[in-house]
Amino acid sequence: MNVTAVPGTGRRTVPREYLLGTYAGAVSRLIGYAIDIGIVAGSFAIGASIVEWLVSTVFPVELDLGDTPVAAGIALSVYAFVYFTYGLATTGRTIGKALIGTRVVRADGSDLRAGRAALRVLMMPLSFLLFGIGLLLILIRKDRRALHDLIADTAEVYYWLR
Amino acid sequence: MENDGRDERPERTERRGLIGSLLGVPTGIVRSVAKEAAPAAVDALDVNDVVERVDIQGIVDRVDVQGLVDRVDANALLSDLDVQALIDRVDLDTVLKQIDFDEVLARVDVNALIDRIDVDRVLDRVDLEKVLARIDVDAFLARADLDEVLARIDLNAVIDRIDVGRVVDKVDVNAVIDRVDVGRVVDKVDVNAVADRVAVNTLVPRTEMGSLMAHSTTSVLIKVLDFARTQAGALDGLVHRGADRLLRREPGVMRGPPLLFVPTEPEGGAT
Repeated sequence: MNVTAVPGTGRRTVPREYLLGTYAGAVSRLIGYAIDIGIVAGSFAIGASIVEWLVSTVFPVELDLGDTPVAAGIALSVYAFVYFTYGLATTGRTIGKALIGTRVVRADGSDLRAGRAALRVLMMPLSFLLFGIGLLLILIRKDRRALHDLIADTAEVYYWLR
Repeated sequence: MENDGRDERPERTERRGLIGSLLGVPTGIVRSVAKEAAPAAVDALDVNDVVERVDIQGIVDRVDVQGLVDRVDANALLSDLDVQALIDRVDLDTVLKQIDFDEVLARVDVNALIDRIDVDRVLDRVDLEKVLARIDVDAFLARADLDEVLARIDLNAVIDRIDVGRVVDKVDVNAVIDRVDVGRVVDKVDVNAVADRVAVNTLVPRTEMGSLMAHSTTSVLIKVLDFARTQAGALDGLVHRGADRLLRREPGVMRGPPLLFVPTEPEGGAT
């Protein structure tokens, strides 16, 4: 683990310079997630347009992914799964998390591996079900872990220093 | 100071005719008298007094300056002249005040004159600091139409011919700058016109503009990211304090996963 260890202070309020390694809050996690969704949606739209153009150019068929929403949905889901899993498995971060300064680790602080990263990504939709009760756990629990974190035995921490 | 060459001039030994012989004797006498008497006469002369009494502008107006300039072998003249000694003896400010430089410069083909002078050699022989110390630079600059002069000079050609490093070495640049009202000078110069004439493409590669821009861009991005993260962290604290209040529990933040923290020391210990 490359995270620089910061000594705990025992104080009730952690100073900002000691945010590194503490549990990330709901707002930071939400912003990071929104950035990731934007990147996935944007890059998928661009990629889909390129694929449509290539197929239409090479083959004598007119491909429009809008006409096949199921196939497009599956393609988007697979793409999003690969995007999130790859980022979490390699560095513990996606682009959105890197920008906002958070990182996903195992509950004990060790590195995340590919299997656990994939499990976390697969369980993420569960947190959004039932009006987002799984996400509310971030506010309820002191360790700020959502439902998919509990299932995959992971935690999201701040990973930046002022 | 380098040898001016006058002492080493060989005596003329070629055969001359009768008239030449007749003229040669008195000419030799005049030259020897001039050689002996001239320095004493020049020393006795109050040059500044003479300068103040002469209507220099009147003389300048009557002289065909361009014709004069064309006929003078400037380099030969300068090589015979002890420029520094001459400058030392003249009250430069008085001379400069009496001359309408704009008018003189308007009548001279400045580029042709510059082309004919070995600028580096002249600069080598002049103590620039002494000259600059004696001139009221601001007053001089206020009177000259710098735009007009600059517009007529091929700046790039002049720069190519001058060993700028040697000139700069001879001048206490800070002392000169201290004496110049830079604001007034800049106000008088059409900077855009000067910039248009400088070969920017050859200058840019010599600067580290690329790395400078990359560095400043990175610095700005880091500041923006830091600001966004700080704001998000502050909002986190706000939201979670609200949640703590709603849940009627003691506010506070857990440290984080245990492996990310070294064993804690007692409060107040070393960090």
